[in-house]
Order: sequence, then structure tokens, then C-alpha cells
Amino acid sequence: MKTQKEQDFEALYQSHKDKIYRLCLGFVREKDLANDLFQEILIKIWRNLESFKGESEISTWIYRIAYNAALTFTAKEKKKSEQQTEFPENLDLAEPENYSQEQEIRLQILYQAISELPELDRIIATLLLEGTAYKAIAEISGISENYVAVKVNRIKTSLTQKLNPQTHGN
Amino acid sequence: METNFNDIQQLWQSQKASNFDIQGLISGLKKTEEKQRKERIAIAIITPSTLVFLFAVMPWGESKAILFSLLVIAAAMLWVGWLSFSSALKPSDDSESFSNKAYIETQLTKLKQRYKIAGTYMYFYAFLLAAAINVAYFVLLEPLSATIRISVHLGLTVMMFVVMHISVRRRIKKYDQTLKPIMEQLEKMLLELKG
Repeated sequence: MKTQKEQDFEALYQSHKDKIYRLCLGFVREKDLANDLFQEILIKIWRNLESFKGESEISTWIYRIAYNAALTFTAKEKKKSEQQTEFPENLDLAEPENYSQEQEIRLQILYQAISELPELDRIIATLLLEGTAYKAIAEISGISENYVAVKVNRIKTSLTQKLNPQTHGN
Repeated sequence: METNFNDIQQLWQSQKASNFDIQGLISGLKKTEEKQRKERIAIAIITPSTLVFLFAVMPWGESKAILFSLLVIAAAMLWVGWLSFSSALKPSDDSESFSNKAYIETQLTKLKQRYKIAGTYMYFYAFLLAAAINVAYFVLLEPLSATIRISVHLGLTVMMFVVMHISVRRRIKKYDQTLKPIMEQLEKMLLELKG
């Protein structure tokens, strides 16, 4: 019989797995590494589950854990691959077989654009792409809402330009 | 046709996670937790057992100096144990759910503390142990000649500091290769977060 913790964890997994996986792909684009990070985040959520006190939304709490794990994971990975190209040209996507070729190319451009952002901007960009409110982004990242708003404008412009190279001449 | 930000959001959200063996993960985690629980129990038993052993074999009742020496050793061991515990990047603590900025600050503090333990506190630990052991030997070696006693005290003290120094150098070299690049990355991220 499943414990309450197992039931809660499974419910959280079902409701957040896609968002967490996309977050991983925003930080590491190699599929194996993204899977490693995905698993690491799930482990951290499991280990911290009993410490959730309900002081914030459960999704904000999960995002904090997930992004903190992604930040340390990225720092460790950068150390390992200092001499290598950080993001290889041949990219693995989550489920390439489900996408049309055009969509796949656009996703690759989007990954490339996100990967070129500094870590903080990557956090904000991926949260923004999930439709997260500014207030929650500020709570997760630890920066002010005003600073989030400034960053959001820059990120939106940057991503839109990168995905419209013919219009913006990139 | 121009792609606007809503299109980019839709494109992003179209990605779905592949199937993941969540039951296998839970089962693995439960086994790991059980193993860690046993390890914690073992650690909780080993340090007090060492101290109990020392108190059992040393004639502390006969000399206040030996009692003092044992108490210094016990205090030094507990102090170093506590330092290591407090600077460890534990798999789970509250800091995991801090904001990104607070989390990075906590991690950096802990990593810096590990450097400080290796570079500074371990020498102080060696000094405490050397002092305590010399006090005990001062009493225990009383029947021997002055030359032998001085040689033993000097030899023991030098040996302890040399061993500690080599061990500290090795540890710091390892930290320079493993922790330092991570700390530099985290510091860069923190600067970014501070805007």
C-alpha cells in the first residue's frame, strides 16, 4: 500500500512533469543531461516533500527546488566541460518524433536563443514561457518584481527577434 | 508570418516529458533513505564509542592532567564533527526551497566554510590534539629519562603536524579542482541576481 508521501509525490509528478522537463531542456540541451537533471530534481522534491509548509503555492515551491537544482547542476556541468563547446549543434529534443520538421527547427532556434541567455535570464525566460506571473517569478528568483519586469521586456524582445530572423535581420 | 511571443509560448509548451519510471525511482529512493538512516546511526555510534574507549583505557581517574587531555580530545572531535556537518551540502535541507538568490548565497557560504575548515580549522584541531596528547604523555612517561621524554614529545608533535599538513594540502588541491570552479560559477550567478 502506498504511503501518503508516495501519493503526494506521484500527484505532483503528474501535474508538474512536463514543466520540469521543459525547465531541464532550458538549462541543458543534451537529452541525457536533461534526463539526469530531471531525475535529480525529482529526487530533491521527494527528499524535501515533508518540509513543504504551505507558505507558498506548491508550484512556486517546486520551481524553487527545480531551479536551484538546475543552477548547481549547470555550475557543475560547466566545470566538467570548460574546454568543450557548451551546447552541441546536434540537439536532442524531448520527443522529436512528435514534431513536424518546421516545428523542430523552430524549437532548436528557441533552445539556442535560451541557451545564449545568462542563467538568471534563463530562469525568467523559462518561467515566462510557462506563463508564470511576475510575482511568482520574483518569489522564485529572489529579485524584485520591478527588476523582473525589466528583464522580461528584454527577454521577450530577444526571443522574438531570434525566432523572426527574416524580420529582424539576425 | 511573424512569430509573436504567444506563439513562442505555445511552441515551448508543446514539449512533453517522456515516460519516466516513477515507481522505480520511488523504490530506489526508499532503499537509499534506509541505507542513509543506517549510516547516520553508525556515525552517531562511532564517535561516542571512540570517546568511551579512550576513557576506558586511559587512567583518567588517577590524574587530572589525563582527564583534562581526554576532555580536550573529546571536545576537539565533537567540534570538528559539528563543523563538517554544518558545511556539508546535504541532499536535503531547507535551503533547497529558498529563492534562487538565497539558495546560491547559502551554497557559497557552505563551500567557503569547507575551504576554511581545511585551511585553518584543521591546523587548530591538530594543535588541540597535539596539546592534549602531550599533556597525557607528560604524565604517562614520567618514569622515563628526560631525553626520551623530550624526544617522544617532539617526535609526536612534529609527526602530527606533518601528517595534518600533508592531508590539508591534499584536501585543498582537491577543492581547487572540484569546488573552486563551482564557487566561481555560483559567484557569477549571484552577481547577475544582484543586478
